[in-house]
Amino acid sequence: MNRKFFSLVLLAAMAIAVGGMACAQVTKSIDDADETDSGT
Amino acid sequence: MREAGEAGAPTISAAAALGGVALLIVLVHLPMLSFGFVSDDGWTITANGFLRQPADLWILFTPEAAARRVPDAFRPTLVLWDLLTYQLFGLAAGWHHALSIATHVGVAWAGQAWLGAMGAPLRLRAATMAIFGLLAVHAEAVAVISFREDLLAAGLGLAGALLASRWLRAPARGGGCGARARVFVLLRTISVGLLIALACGAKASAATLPLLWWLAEALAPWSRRRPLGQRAAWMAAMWVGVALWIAHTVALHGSLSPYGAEGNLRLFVSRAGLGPVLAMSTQIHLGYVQQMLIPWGLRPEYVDAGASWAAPATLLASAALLASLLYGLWCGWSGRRPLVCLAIVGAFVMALPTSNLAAMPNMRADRFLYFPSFPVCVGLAGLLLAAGLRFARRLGGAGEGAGRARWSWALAPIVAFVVMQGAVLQAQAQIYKSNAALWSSAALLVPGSARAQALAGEVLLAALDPAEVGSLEHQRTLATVRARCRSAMALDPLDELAHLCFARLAIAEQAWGRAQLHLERALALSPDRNHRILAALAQVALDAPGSSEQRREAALAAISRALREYPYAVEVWAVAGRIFHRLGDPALASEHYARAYELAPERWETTLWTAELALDVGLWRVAAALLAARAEIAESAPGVHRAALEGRLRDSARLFP
Repeated sequence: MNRKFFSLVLLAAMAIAVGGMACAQVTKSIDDADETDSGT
Repeated sequence: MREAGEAGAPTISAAAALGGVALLIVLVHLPMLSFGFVSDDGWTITANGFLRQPADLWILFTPEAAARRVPDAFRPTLVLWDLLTYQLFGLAAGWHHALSIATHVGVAWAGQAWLGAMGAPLRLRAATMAIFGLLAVHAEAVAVISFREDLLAAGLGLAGALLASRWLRAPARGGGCGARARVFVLLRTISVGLLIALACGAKASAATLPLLWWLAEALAPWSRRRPLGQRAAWMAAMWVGVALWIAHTVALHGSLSPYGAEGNLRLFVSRAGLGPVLAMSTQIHLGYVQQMLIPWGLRPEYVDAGASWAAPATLLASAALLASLLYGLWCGWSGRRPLVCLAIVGAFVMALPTSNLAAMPNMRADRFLYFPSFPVCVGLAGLLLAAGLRFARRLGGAGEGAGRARWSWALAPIVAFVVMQGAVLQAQAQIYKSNAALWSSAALLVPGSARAQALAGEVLLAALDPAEVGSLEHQRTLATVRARCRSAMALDPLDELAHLCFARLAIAEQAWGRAQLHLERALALSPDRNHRILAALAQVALDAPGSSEQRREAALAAISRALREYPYAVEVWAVAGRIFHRLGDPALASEHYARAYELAPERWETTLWTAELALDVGLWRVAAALLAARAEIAESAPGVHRAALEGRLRDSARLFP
């Protein structure tokens, strides 16, 4: 059971890493859009 | 993690379950190891000379600490911690971040251990630890080194609560009576009181912990309620700890608030009064609830503002908060849902210190939720586990194998919640990787903040390459900074940072008279932390219009005041050395540079300026020896400054062999 639990932990860590990158990407795209708008 | 009544639930040891959760928390926070010092880290760590003076530690417990403006003197535990960690790690930001992550894991661990001491099942403890460890709103408290004050307060406070709950259930050694038993009881009582005093000494957010502890023990959701007298005795020990902290604050500042009385413009209550502040506070707290449940709208900066009690948003927020409080109280009173009561009423209790009832320089910040979120996490863990079990039971099936599969599904809601929170935490934490990232993000996310606009301008100026002066890029940056300063001034003309932004811009443009005017205005408005303004004023005064005697007097007056009021501010000593250097007094310059080096050996400015002084008095060999001895520090200076000094050194060596 321990092995399965630690696999779940690693899977969660990877899901968080991917989710974190996706969140950061979304934030960056919003920032870029704002920059373009305000730059004109 | 077998639960009673859950047939087929697989077993896992407590060490493996909790260790696995701790590992997950560490893995998610690992990117923070590459972050630098940001925000208040400058005032409390990098430029805080007090951390390099362990011999002066005693003054922390006397009014001298306030008189000498020791940064965060009203948080002696934090200062002690900063001093110890500086002695261990120096200014290696990675190690400080590693310590913050370890402390955060320690807080989560202490929290679950406290629940365990009260009889909570392993599943709830592990789920609480996972939620608390990965709650997105904790990004700020963990990612900014100096905000470890919140982590320390929570860790020490929960350790005190854990010991109190554990000892409430365990008789003292040496039997129930006798001198030895009495000594044990006394030592235990002192330990708990001391831990709570230390927690409050890290941050005032721990001051209401005795109430949370009492609530948890009175509700006793997982075990038999202990006798009233015993509970009262342990809570009294905790209150003694709180009283010790209050006595220290009053001794230092002469009042309960370290932020000074009315007239401090940083306290919004001084501008708008308590009514509008509290009205806005209801909206803020409803926002906090949303941010904990759905991590949207997390910000590194919030604009202080008042509100009307008749405003629809205030009425809605007040009604929602009051309804939830009444529901929580009913859950506890009826005895039907003690966990719900603990989560809701506990959060209210822990939010009291930062609820703006007492004036604070920031009305709202994500980090204020660090400790108050703990009871919420306990409630969320219970809710998500219950939802998961119901979900798993609906899946049906028979036999041992089916039971295990169902049990796995029972974890689905908690895993989904933790992954969602952890992902947002990782993304949110990126804002705090550097001052440039922090203040440019703050200005973008909160354009209405004068502080964010002014500091975004300042970080742009700080990043200017001296080699590019006069270039198109340089002019463009100055124009951007000017726009930031104007925005800050339009948003809040009473914020000294707006004037400081204009002053820095004027310095970059070498408009010394304008810089002097803005610095004087900033100084008039700023209630504290004036060392940077005074140091800049002293330097600018030497170049500002006026007779040479006037300039000299103005510079000396400003730097003398800075040295008198901020004896532990590193830049003040370095700038004093520079002033005497420029005024042609090498002995005094050397003395002040030496003190600046003593207070912060890592600063390249001190080393380069000391070498320049040696060159100016014709001692090029001394300068060369100094640069060789402090090669690592000199290496951290911008290339243009280093190259200029090395060029002078070469010329001196050639001309005066």
